Amino acid sequence: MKGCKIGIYGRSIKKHLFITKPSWIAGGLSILIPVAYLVLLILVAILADYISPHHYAAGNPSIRLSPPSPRNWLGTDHLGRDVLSRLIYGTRPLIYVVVTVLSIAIPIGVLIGIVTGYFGGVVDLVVSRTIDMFMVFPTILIALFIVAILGPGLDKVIIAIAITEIPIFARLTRALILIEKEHVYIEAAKALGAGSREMLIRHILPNITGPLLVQATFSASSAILWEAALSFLGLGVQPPTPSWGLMMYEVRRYFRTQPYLMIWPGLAIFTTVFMLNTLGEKLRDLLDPRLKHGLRHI
Amino acid sequence: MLKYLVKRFFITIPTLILILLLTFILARSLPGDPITVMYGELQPPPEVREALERELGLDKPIIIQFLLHIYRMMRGDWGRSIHTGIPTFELIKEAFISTLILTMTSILIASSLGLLLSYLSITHYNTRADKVIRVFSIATFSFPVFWWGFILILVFSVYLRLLPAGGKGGIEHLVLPSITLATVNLGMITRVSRAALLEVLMQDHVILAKAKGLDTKAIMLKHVIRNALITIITIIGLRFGVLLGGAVITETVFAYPGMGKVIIDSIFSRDYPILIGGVFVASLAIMVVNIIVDLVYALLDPRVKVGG
Repeated sequence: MKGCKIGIYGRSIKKHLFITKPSWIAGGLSILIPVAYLVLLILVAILADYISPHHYAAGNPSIRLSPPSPRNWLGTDHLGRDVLSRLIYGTRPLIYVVVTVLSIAIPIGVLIGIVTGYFGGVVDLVVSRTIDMFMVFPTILIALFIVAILGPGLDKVIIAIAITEIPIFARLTRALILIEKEHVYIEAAKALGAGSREMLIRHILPNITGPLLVQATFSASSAILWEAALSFLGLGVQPPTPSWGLMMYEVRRYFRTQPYLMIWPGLAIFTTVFMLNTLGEKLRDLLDPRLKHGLRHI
Repeated sequence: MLKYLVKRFFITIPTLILILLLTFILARSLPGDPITVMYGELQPPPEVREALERELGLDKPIIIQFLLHIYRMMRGDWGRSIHTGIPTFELIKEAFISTLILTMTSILIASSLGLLLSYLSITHYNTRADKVIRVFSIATFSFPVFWWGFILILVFSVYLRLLPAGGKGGIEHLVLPSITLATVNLGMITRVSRAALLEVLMQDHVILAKAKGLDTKAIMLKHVIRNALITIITIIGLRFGVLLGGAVITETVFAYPGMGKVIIDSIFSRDYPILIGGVFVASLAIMVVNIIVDLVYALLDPRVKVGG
């Protein structure tokens, strides 16, 4: 009974010990704002053709590097293209990267996690050791190698990021299954004659989706940061498609005189990642069963 | 302790050889070769190319090349850069020291500030200060590293003209890169150590200490922070690879001549000896850090024994 313990900052902590189920209302705003922001982002991506003032690739050299004006609200870049329009169209590769990375990394990672965690044995040993070795390698090196071998481009960057995210999901799933296997209900299900497949699909998977969802949120934000970093090294999206990372890569020479060219896309990335991380933190509070008891709901 | 070290050392060797093999395969899977890069637009006639390949040892079967490379590396001959002729070992040594200085400075800044912030966060648990610190720590690990670097350059070297924007030299060249790298790790460290502090606070021995009538400050110092340090060191150790990755990008922004620059350049110029040596040293560093973390762990936590 964790609730009986009183820490040295007794009063304030004690008050919270008895909240074992944080209410949705308590975390209301910090869930509502990020969700609203993400919905808005998706809407912007869908409606980009209608809401963006100019075409993202339409350059006008006579107004290159111009400061914000009524015609170009956020100014123009080194080729005279409208920064606001490029930011708006930049939501498309962003969402594409997140969706594809997650839909590659989650199924493969979870599958590896299930095989190693649920079935164990020699396979577990070999795969887990391989993953451990893989994690010694700095992520950026793996990504750089993959992009250098396959050549630059958005799809290659997606493959590189997905490959670095797979071990994270594999390890998490494995750990969660190992915890879950110890529970009495698994014993009960086994006694009732549940086979491996039923056990996994009906009993274990529903119980571990919470933490996986939390990890997916954090992986989404790290995918965005990686895409930006690789695009910034000139390896990601190829021009003229606007990605926020590429926009910064293209204007890095002008940033001393025209800093806003660098500031806007970076601010867009920061805001998006910040919203995702806030959402992830809050979801962790609400969904992660390991944190549900007592203080650890923080 | 010594027995454990020797054992760890022998486990490390096969992993390092595997990593060398992996790097070798990856390096050779890169399209083109150093000769293609060397000549650029004007590719040499076949006989020149053959002579060059023979000179660089690229004509032998790939498995022989790999074994020969390992054999030479073990004898201390790491080869020379294909393009500049600088000995690999010298080049990497210099770059590695630069990166080490950068990484260590930023870890020091980030962990001391992180510990301070998490301490404040705990002592003001669930107040406005706590919330501000939590939001701040989420914010710092949401920064795109390179963008944050540029913002710092903009403020401190373009507008205020206080610090150099890049390059290598005295301490002033280290300030902005290490702040950049420290900021993006600060949030993570604060978050982890806050959770660790909270967990320790709830443990029986802390309650016992309080019951014995010990002063809160003494309890914090002797019991809580010591335990939280274990978690912080573990997380730094586990994320050392990520730290090095952040260092690669930071180095690119500030034109800081470290491992990141060396490895990226060698990938693009297909400079095999440098590339293999660089990745080898980076992986070795990560492994050594892991061993050190294990040892520190044993020093700080008497329950952990590193004999078996």
